[in-house]
Amino acid sequence: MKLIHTADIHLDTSYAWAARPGVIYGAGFGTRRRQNLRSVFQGMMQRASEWPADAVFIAGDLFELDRLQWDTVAFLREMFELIRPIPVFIAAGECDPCTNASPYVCEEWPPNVHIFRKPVWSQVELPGLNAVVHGMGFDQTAPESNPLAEGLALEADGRTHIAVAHGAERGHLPPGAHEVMSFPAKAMDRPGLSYLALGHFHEVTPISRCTHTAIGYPGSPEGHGFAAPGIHYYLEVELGNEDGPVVRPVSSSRTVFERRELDCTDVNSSSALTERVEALRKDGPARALQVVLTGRAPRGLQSWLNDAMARAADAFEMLAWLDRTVGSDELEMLARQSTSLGAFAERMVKELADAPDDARRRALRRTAEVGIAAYRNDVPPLPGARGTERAVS
Amino acid sequence: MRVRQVHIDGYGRFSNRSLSFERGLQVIVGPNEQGKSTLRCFITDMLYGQKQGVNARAYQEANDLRRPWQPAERYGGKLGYELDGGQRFEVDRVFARDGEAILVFDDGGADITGTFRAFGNGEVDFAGTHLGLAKEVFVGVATISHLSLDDLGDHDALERIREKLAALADSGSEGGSAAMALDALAKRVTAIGGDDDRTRPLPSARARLVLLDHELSQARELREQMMQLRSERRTLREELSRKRGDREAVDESLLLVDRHELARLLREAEALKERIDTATKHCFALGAVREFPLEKLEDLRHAENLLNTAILERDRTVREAEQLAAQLTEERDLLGGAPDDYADVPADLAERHREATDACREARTEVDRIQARLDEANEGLAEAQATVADLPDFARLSADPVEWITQLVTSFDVARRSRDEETAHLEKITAELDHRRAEIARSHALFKEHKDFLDLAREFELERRIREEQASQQASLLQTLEGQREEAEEKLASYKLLAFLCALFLAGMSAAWFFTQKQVMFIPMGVLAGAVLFYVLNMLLLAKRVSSLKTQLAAPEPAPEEGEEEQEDEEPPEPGVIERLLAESGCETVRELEALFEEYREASAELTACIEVFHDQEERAEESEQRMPQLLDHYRKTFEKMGETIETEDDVQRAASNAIGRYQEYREAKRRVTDQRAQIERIRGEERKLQASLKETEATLSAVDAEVLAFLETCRFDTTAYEGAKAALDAYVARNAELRDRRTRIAMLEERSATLALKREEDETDVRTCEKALEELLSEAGVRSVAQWHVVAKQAREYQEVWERRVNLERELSDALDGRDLNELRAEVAGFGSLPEPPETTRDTLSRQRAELEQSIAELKEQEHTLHVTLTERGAGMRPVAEIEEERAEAERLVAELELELESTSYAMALIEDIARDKHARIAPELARRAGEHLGAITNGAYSEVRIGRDLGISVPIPERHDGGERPEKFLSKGTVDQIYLSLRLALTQCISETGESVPMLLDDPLANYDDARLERTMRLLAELGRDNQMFLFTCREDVVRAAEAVHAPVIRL
Repeated sequence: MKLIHTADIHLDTSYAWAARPGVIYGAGFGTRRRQNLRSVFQGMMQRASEWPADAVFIAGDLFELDRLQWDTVAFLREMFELIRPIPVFIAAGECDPCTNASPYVCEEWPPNVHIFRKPVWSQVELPGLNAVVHGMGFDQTAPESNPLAEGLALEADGRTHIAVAHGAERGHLPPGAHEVMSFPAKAMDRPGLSYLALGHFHEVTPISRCTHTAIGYPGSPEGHGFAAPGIHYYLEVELGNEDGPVVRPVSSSRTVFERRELDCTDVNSSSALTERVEALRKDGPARALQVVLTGRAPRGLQSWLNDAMARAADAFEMLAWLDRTVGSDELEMLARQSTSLGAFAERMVKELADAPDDARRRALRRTAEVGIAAYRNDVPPLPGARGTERAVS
Repeated sequence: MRVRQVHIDGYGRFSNRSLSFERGLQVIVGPNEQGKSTLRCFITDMLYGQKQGVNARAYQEANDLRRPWQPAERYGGKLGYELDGGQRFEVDRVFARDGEAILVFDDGGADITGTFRAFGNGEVDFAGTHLGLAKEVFVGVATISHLSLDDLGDHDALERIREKLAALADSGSEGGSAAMALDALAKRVTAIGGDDDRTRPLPSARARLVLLDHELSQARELREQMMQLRSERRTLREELSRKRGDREAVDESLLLVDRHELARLLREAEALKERIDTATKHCFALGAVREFPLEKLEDLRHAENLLNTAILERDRTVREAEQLAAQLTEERDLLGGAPDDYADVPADLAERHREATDACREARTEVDRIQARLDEANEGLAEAQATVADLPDFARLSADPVEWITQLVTSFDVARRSRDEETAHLEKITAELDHRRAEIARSHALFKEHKDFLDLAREFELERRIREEQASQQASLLQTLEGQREEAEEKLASYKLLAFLCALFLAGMSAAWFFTQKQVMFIPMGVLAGAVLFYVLNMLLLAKRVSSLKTQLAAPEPAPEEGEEEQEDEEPPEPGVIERLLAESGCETVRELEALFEEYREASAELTACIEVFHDQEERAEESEQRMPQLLDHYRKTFEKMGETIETEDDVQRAASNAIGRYQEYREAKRRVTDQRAQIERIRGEERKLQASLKETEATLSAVDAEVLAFLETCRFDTTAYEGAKAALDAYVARNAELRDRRTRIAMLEERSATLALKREEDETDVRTCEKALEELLSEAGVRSVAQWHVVAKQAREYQEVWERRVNLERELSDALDGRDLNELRAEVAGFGSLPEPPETTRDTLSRQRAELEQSIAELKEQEHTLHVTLTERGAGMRPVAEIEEERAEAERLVAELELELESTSYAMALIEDIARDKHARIAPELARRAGEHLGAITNGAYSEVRIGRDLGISVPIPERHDGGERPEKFLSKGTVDQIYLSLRLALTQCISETGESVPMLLDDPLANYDDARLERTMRLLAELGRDNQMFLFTCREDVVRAAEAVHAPVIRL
């Protein structure tokens, strides 16, 4: 029995998070990314049709209900029609809960689509495959019951049992991920249950130490941000083999979010920084790169950082950076001068030391940069709005 | 700091070259392009390196420019320096990029590089640590090159100097003053934009953010609405699906009903077919009468009716002629032999007789009516007279009885009200009197026996004061005695102690004398004995005094009080009265008691006045009370005359009303008597006139009667049988009218008989014509009689009915089949096989249900379509929420960034302004003092003062002009301006070091415009300053060398 397992596609998601300082992306980035998500989903459906898969499992967060465009519903219908009669099992997830306003309820779906809408286990029999599919879904963002934690009662009937759901396995919770419908793996590691198709974690995560049931998260088939960097996958699962289930991650990323460190200590100019960043480009899928600037900040780094990154950004789908450089000695050096610039720098050093929070520290750092630059008649340009080609955030 | 020596391994044109420097001023001389600037740069680079900044690894341009021109062991060298404190250090540097190195050694040769702070670019901050200056500041301040002086110009030189000075003081660089920084920051703030400037980035971004917020909220709201619409559409679709299911069920029922209907139709068609066959057979049997003219039935009936009618008309005419003949005969018999001529009564005679008769009857009627009126008037007169006789004769009582009675009643009411008021007033005064008495009762009980209370009170108060004074005096005395007692007791204790001590010494002395037997001891012993005696005597006196004082203090009452007590015993009443009154009244002080007495006195006076008023009122009330019975008796008699009885005062009003009523009745009756009498007289006059008229009318009637009788006799009419002329005349007129009628009726009957004879002949002709037409019709039908015609017609009608029935059956069959072929129907029904039971609902009901369902489905489809259109329309104009969110986040980011920029820039401005102002204010006086000294030294006192304001504004007073004037540089030579600048730079270098370490000065030929005298003085000044700050004067001019030599400055020639 061959299955396609995916989850957390988050169609129509928003990339508003990218609009922050230290991120550069081209105009229409969000739109392109959302189109990418559709393309990735379309690719999976084509694969299901060509392989051919016996069933497709979508373990929640297929789309984001709050932002859903209704042409996406038409797109999904078209995709599901495309692979008909391959059955598609969808478990409503946290971001696409099956509320009254959900298209899962309001819209008509092809007959090969079965949606698990309630947070209780229900089942669908596949007589042709001698299999039973169990599933549950979210009827609101935070359902009151937790069938995953309660487990799934099965009878040994000689059929293949597969379950699909959206929830967080506590033992493999990634850092920063929040617990929703959380459960221990042993609660679902049941004799007779061959495979548990899960969704919620955005990185591919096989659940280890299970004796009866193969449990896995495919992660999102396309990266959503730097929180889950790297290549993303969907899963091809084969059941009924003598050696047990075969779970095979298949790369599906069209844009790879990646984080790299860059030591700025010996960077002495804007162009040098641009060159160093451009050197981080790789062949392959489009890259969304987050550069973590480390080392000791060269003098003037802040004043030409934006320009340098803007020049390098052409090589990337998105270019972001985190300034983790060690504070410049320049301020302290200036603070030792008996000039008014020195007094200004001294005042800045003192206020930075006493700054109560990061926001104040950031403001003071900027005050120092602007003030010193003004003494040198080298005031940095103002931050600008999104351009037609690329924007510097 | 003092640079002791340098060794240049390789640096520019220098290669393996060593130079040693003195502590103070030294001149490094050489032609152009001999390395003066190279040496200056070497010193700077050795101290601070060649990196672009403290963190940058990048090199300055000098790194390439200063590479060794000749092959050298290495690109670098050594520099030894000494601090003001005497510590010596040596720096060893390699500038080559591939072998960059820096080492710092102390005077013991130990590598102390690691003790200094190292920057990220590998530099070591030993120079900054020792000099307290960053590289920029050292280069900017300590290095005075000729380039710095060249651009001072002739005009605005001091302003430019000020700018340079401010820039150096502010940033250590000539190009970076606080003012310039503030200017740049202000431009930046303006560029960011405030609330008033809509076109700047920040307000634009804020406005954009507001728009996007609005759009986002609208988009979300629209999404909610669309979700609601989609939910409604889902409900509609479910409803539509359910309706369609219902319609299918109805369709199935309808199909079943239709099949049953077809089966029933077939059964009916078969039955109709059978009946058609039967009718066909019957028609065949009646085929003989198929052509019978049934349509002539009406003609036949018409002809038969015409014949019968003609016969009846003829018979009636015959009967009518016979009756008319009998009537004619009877009328002629009744007329008999009556005369044919008779005269009518003349019209005027009849008219005059009728008028005379009517006038006579009317006159009699009038006489009767006037008699009746006279009787009626006589009766009214009698009745009015009887009424007057029954009432009192008010005419005798008063001319206007109503006014008189009203006045009587008013007078009585006034008297009565006056009495009541007086009585009420008396009661009120009585109540007030009682109230006052009750109020005063308590005070009266207190003071009734003490009318002289005020005198008693005054006496009591006087005595009280005396007692208080006595008590005060006694207390004072006691206090004095107590003090004396305490004092005496203290003295007593002292005396006891002294006596004891003296006795003790005396005993000691006695014991000593006993053992020593020295007579000299008698003197002190005698003194001591005397002292003991003195103290003992005093002790005894004081003891007595204390005892006496205690006795006095213990005495219960002083003597004077006892005396008073005796007095009180003799005259106890007066003080006792006041105290008793105080106790009884509840007053605490005599003042309160006096106030109470005053109140009592006032209340007593008011009570007396009130009693007097009471007595007066009592008299008035009694008087009023006595007058009322007399008045009542008088009224009783008066009203008896008017027929009214008065028992009590309340009856007066009633009696008056009754009396007025009687008077009005009396007055009415009198008026009626008068009126009736006048009317009787009037009627009697009319009666007389009517009697005369009646006689005249009766005479006229008699004359006319005679004339009538004469006329009737003329006509030979017997009048004897009638009473009076009128009756005879009426009978004569009636007889004439009857004869005239009868003759007219006979003439009419004769005319009618002739008409009937003609009509009888016509009727006979009609009968014959009708008989002929009927015979023709019968012959056409082939029958002989009407009866036979009817028998055959019945058969023909039966044929027609059967035939019509057959046609109808065929039509019914055709209608039932509704275009179907019977055989096809049979085949179709046969195909149904066995049908299930039909539904209980009828087809109409099912059809109605289906129609309703169709309508519902159509409506639902319409609604769904409407929703679909609405959704499409709304969705078409809606941007994706994610897109708006992204754009909004971008705008928000921009706003935050710009706000941060605005905040940071504004804060930087504020800080820089404060700091620069403070810095300038602090540095200005010291700078002015030193610069003035230097300028005075250079100009030999020609310009001995440099004024520097808080903003570092510079002015130099010109002695010849006796003022500081505006723009003094206009009056100064270029050389003087150079000297002012040099003075200021020297002063600034002296002031600038943070650590206090002297800063070496590198002067790159700044003395170009100096005359010999000032050059010499400048050199002396530099030599003098060189005692504190090491001076390197780089020059290519020999006059400078000579001047230096004149002040014994060492000269190093390159």
